[in-house]
Amino acid sequence: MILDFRFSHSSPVKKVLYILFQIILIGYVIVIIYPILNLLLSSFKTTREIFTNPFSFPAEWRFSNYVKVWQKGGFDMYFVNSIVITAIAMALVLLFGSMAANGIARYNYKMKMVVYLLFLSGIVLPLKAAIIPLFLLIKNLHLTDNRLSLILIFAAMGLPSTVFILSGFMKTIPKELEYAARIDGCNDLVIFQKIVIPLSMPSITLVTIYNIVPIWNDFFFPLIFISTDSKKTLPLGVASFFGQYQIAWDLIFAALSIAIVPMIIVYLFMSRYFIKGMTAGAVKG
Amino acid sequence: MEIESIPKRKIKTTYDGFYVFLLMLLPALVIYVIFFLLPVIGSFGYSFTNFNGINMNYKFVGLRNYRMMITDPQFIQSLINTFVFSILVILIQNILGFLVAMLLHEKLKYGALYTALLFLPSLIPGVVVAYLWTYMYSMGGFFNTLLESVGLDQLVQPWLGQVNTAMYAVIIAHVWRFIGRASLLFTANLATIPSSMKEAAMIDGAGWWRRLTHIILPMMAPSFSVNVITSFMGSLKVFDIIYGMTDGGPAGVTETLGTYIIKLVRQGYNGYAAAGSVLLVICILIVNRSLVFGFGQWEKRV
Repeated sequence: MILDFRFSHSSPVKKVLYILFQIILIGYVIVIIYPILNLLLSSFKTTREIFTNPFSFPAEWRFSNYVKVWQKGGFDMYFVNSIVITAIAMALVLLFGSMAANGIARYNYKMKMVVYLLFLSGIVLPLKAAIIPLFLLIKNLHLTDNRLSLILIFAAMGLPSTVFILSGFMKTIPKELEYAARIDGCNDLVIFQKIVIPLSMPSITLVTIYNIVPIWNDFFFPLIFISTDSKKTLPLGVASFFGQYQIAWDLIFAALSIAIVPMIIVYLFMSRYFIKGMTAGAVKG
Repeated sequence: MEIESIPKRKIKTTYDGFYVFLLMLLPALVIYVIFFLLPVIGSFGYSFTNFNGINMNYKFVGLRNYRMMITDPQFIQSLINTFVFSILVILIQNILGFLVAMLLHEKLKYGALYTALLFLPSLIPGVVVAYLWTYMYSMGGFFNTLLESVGLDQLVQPWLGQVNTAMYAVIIAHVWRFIGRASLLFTANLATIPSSMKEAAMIDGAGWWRRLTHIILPMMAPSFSVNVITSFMGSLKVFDIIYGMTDGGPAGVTETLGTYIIKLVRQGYNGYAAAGSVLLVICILIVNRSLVFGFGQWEKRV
């Protein structure tokens, strides 16, 4: 601590500073959170109310905004698309990523470094920059306007960092466990399943959290690869909704609120892991 | 089988021989190479052609696209904008984020709750942030109404529609989104600084400024490096927020590499756009390598 407060027996000056800092901190948090609160509150207002009374609670809670957006705005489709695509992409990333990490961390062969560096290079390279060949590839695979293309792209996107993180953790699994298992007659696949994976659960959780938000929130790739309305993901759906209903701010706010709710729910359940995940490895000790 | 007969030889790490680890690597490699590596390399290749996106009879044109880049005012503008954006974002996000982290670190009540709350904006999709802030900046939107209600009518303006305010408006929205993450990392790093060091310094009579600059800042090297590197690379690639708020306008002041490349693709200049993306990749690589190197040096001296 910079100033090392001990509230009860510090000088009056420090007490004042303490209270001041507390106020500043609370004020800061309110300022940051306020746009989100405003969004949620305003989603229950009428458009006129949003512009005439931006700071107050809604006069009446218009759930009809949400109903309209969900049904007529097609958000039920967007929501389902996002869930399906994110879930399958995450499953691929976790499954293939852990397999590849296992293949890198616990075996020795000549090409090992090459493969490892190959995956590592993906962490710095932006996949966004490869959009032109990617588009051609998808076209040649006849996957344009197909949600499978997004699943594959998101999987490719998540693999480098996943392999990096998981292989780091897997290296720390003691060899004695493996030897003991082999003596008991287990082959490699069983070792992977019954020893490596369970021991790597913390890092698997980390990787899930690290990847799930960018995949769910991604707008760029759905924008390029999906055109049919019924296949759009949530962010893309929000964008086209906004383009259509630009002036109907009450509906827009309801749509935006729907878009932010899923990740917030995930966050509420996993906030401990989120914070651990974001800080793990970034700070020594 | 008797336990005594455990072979003394080193058990081979390739038990089933070659094939198991290959099997494990294969699916990931296949997806990664096909949908990531090859496209990135292909981008490099296309940058030397005049591909227009539809007609497959494109020709090799050598460095023409790169020469066009240097003379295209819009491209130069987007390059400059991208770096201005990135640098301002880094400065504001990390300095402010660090100050907030120091506050959070003082073990004030509810510190953990605040940290968790501050993290929320980074969970929001970029386009949602964009539209939310479009509303906040609009005429009759949140900021302007606030200004009116306190009598500062003369400051009411279309923040996103004006050449001299648009960039800053976008920067504020972007910083708002990610500052929670920066604070989180800084707070975590602050927690690892052993209080024994600080107490020893206090006993030796060091004032808080000295404690700050000689003990805390040097030990913050890890989080500073991670934060600066990730925020730099992230802001070089920025797209969602700008697309949703201004799409490069007004008059190209918020045009960044990402938005400009997409515009080029839409217009059919795919070879040129590929050259642009190659430049983006090169920028990212240069920035990344130099920052990693620079911070590595700093960490060594600490």
